[in-house]
Amino acid sequence: MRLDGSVAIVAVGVTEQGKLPGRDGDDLAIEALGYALEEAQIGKEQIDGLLTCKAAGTDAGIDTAVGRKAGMNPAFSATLDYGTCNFTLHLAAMAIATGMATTVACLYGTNQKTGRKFAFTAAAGDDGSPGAPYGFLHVSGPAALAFQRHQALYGTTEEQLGHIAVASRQWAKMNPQAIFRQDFTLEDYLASPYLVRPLRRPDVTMISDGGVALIVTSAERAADYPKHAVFLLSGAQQTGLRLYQNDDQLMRPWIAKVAERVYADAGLTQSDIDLLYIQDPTSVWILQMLEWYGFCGMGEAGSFLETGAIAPGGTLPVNTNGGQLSEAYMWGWLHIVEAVRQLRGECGERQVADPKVALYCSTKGFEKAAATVLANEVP
Amino acid sequence: MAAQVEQMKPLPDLDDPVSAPFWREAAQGRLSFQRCSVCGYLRWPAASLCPECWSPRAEWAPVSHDGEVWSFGVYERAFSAAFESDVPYVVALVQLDAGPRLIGKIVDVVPADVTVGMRVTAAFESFADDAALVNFRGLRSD
Repeated sequence: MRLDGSVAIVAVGVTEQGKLPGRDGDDLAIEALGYALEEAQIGKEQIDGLLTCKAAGTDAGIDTAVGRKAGMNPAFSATLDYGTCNFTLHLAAMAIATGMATTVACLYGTNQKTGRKFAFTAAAGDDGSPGAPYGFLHVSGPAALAFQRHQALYGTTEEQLGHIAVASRQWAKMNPQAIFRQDFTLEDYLASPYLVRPLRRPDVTMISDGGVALIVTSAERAADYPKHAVFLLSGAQQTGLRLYQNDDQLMRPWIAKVAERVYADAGLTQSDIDLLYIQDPTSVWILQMLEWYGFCGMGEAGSFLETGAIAPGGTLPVNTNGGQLSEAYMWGWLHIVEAVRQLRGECGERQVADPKVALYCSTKGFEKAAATVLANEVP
Repeated sequence: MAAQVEQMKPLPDLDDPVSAPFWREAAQGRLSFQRCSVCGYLRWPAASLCPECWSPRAEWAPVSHDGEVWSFGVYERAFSAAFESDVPYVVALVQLDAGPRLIGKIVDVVPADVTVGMRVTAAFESFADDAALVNFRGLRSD
C-alpha cells in the first residue's frame, strides 16, 4: 500500500500502564482517546471513524460497545480481533484514502493483567491444532521451538539472544512510562530460569493493563493540528493462514514478502530506517524479523545482536520504548506511540538524534504479518 | 502397553466426528490421516474439506510412523497444573516422512539427548478406552 505521506498520525494518547485493578478495558481505551483528543485539540464529535481492537482473553474492544459507552456515532466503525496496531492503522489509512472517514480514532484497552486470566496460558496456537493434550501451552512453546531451530541451523547462542532482553531494558530505563526499569545485565539474563528451554522468563512479554489511542487523518487535514504530524509512507501485509500446513511455519519465511512490499512502496531500503520497532511477545520475534526485514543476513541475527547494534548507542535503535519485554504489554500499540514520539523529538533522555524514518513490524501469531513505514516529513 | 493419561489434562474432543477417527486409529496403533479422495492430499489438522481441492470426500489412511524432529523445547515450567508432575518434558514438532507435521511429546528420553533432526517414531499413549495421543520416541540406529 503506497501512501506517499497522504495519511498521518496527528495525536496519541496513553493511560497509566501496569496493574489497574477494577478498571474496564473499554474504559481504559476511552480514557486514552480522551488524552489523544486533548493533544489534537478536537472534540469526540469530530471523529468520524472508530476502529477498535479486541483484547485477547477479555470482552473488551468491540466497536459497537465502545461507541455506545463513549457516546459516539461515527460514520464508520469496525473491530479487528488481532492487535499490534499495524492492522488497525492500515484499515484507518484505507478508510481515509477511500473517503469512508476523514478523522479516525484507533483504540486499544485491556485489563488482562488484573481482570480475566489472559489466554497466553491456553494452547499455543489457538488454531484447531491439538497441541494442548501434549502440554504445548503458552507462546513460549512455539517461540522456543523457533529459536531451537535457529540455533541448530545457524549456531545462534542463548547469550546472543539475551542481548535482546538486555537492550530492551537499557531503553526502558530511560522511559518513565516503562514498567520494568531495574538494572538487568547479560549475567542476570543467563541466571534467569527457563520457561521452555532454550527460552527464559526475560524472553517473554509481561502482561499489563492500560489503554492506547491514535488519531489518524489525511495529510491535508494534518496541517491544522497542533502537534507535528507523523506521515505514513507505506503499509504492507502478508498472511500465512494455512498455518500448520505451511512449511517452516514457526520460522514464517513469508514475512520477507512484507519487507519487500513495504520498502518498495515507501521507495526506500533498510539503510534508510533510523528507528526500528518490532512487536515482541517474545525476543524470538525480534531475532526473526531482523533477518526477514534485511537488517542482517539470514542466520546472522545472533552475531548482529552481539555487536550491541540494537541497544542505546548502537547502529540500529530497536524498540526504544523497551518493548513488551520491559515497557508494557499493549499488544504492539505502544511501539507506534513511541515511533510517533521519537519522530516528533519528544523522548528526552532516550531520544535518538534527528530520526526521519521509522519502520514498525508486527505479526499476529504465526498467521499474519504487517509493517508500516512512518516519517516526520512528506517525501 | 500404552501409558494412561491423567484425566485432568486437556484432551481431544472425541465427540467431534471430523477429528475423532485420528485418536481412535491411534488407539489401534495406527497413525492415520484423511487422504483426499479426489486429489490425494493428507489433511492435518483433520478437516471437513480438503484445503487443496475443497472436496469433502476422504478416507482415513494409515501412514509411516516415522519422521524427524524439526525442533523441540523443554518445558521447565508447567503452564497448567495438569502438567506439573511431567516437568521437565519435551515437546517437539515432528516432520513426518508422510508429509504432515505433528506436535507431540518426545517420551522415554533424557531431554539433553534430544536433537533437531533426530529420527523418531510414533509412541501411542491411551487417554480413553478406544483413543490415544500420538507421542514420539527415538528410533535406534543400532
